[in-house]
Amino acid sequence: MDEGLISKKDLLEQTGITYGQLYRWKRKKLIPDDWFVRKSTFTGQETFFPRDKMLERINRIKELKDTLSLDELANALSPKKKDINLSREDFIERNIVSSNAVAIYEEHFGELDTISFKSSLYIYLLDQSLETGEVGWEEGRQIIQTLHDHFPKLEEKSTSLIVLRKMGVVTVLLVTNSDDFYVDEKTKVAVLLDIDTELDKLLNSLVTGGF
Amino acid sequence: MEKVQNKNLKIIGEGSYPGGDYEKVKLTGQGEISEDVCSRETKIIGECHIKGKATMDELHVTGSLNIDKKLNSQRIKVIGELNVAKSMKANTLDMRGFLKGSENVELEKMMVKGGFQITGLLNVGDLQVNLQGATSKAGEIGGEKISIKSRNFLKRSYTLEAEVIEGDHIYLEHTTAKIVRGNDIEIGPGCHIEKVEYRSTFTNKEKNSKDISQVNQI
Repeated sequence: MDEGLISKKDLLEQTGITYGQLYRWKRKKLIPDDWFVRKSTFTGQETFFPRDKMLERINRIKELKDTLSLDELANALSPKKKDINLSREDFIERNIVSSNAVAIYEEHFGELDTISFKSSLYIYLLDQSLETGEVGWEEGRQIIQTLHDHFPKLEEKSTSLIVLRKMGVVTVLLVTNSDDFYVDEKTKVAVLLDIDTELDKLLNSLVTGGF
Repeated sequence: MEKVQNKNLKIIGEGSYPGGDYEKVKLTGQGEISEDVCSRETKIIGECHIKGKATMDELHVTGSLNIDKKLNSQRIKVIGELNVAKSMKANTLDMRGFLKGSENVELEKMMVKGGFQITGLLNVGDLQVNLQGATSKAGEIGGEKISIKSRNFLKRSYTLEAEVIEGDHIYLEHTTAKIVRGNDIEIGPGCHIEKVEYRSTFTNKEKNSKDISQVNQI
């Protein structure tokens, strides 16, 4: 069996929650639908979860559920909807992103006074891509444009940002649920970022930055 | 077709209308809405077919309603028939009649007198069913309180077929399932269950029944 997965039964045993709680949290979108992995076993169909993510999520829900209502919790756990507006200066000063990344974004969408959480995520992803050294100014614009056009459609899913380069030509991809993928030998994977992981990092740096 | 803003849609007799945002939708007779529709209050007497997504805070149906895409609602009350071709989500559903859902159905509270056929997961906080009319089917049922009964004036009782039923408190009658899992499980008459897994209590009202093959405490 896959090491990274945990069966529903084991999960409930380990965490001490009940079926009812699990289903209620699923209804309230505290647990994303695509974490429910269906697999056939010798007893029939069973549901599995990504072990680490699920255990961490359940611990967080258990910690927070006494102080927050379930709806508030849903907001706290899906930060893509979070209402944070940062000022442009703060964003750069606190070294969350480089000024280059902001410049690319602004060139495309005009001057920014305040930065919404969504834009800050785009800029952060762009910044991370620039940092790899594989992506230049022109490609950066391509990334921003792709995120802006298509990311809202994929928000609820776990998405990866992939940049492929072949003979100097760059392709930007947004892929959901990508575990493994392979490219031909002339193609180079310039950037591969799991957006959920990056989102957590961004949140952390925002929190440590004092927002 | 232009979308209409903040108006009432009234169909009496027979008609086909474009979708849009409405305050109230009232249909008496037979109607068709050809696109996505949004409304605060909807009342349908007769027959209605919505060929798009439906977002309705309050939905009352007497007769039948077919929706080709998703349904999002707060309170739904149906006497008759409700068919949803994609997923369905609501707070409460009070139903006399038959519900058909082709994907997952998510509800906080569901009371049914009649039956349902759901291919995906039926995820309900509080589920109370009185089976009547026809055989009910569900892929999976999950929730906190699940109570399936079949009480009828006539002698005939109807059955529910499900692969998996999981919940905290479960009471079942006339149910055929592969696996039933939960904290407190009570089994009434007419059940065929391959495997029961319970945590705290298990009661089988039919003492001499051999229709439950395996019982495990976990």
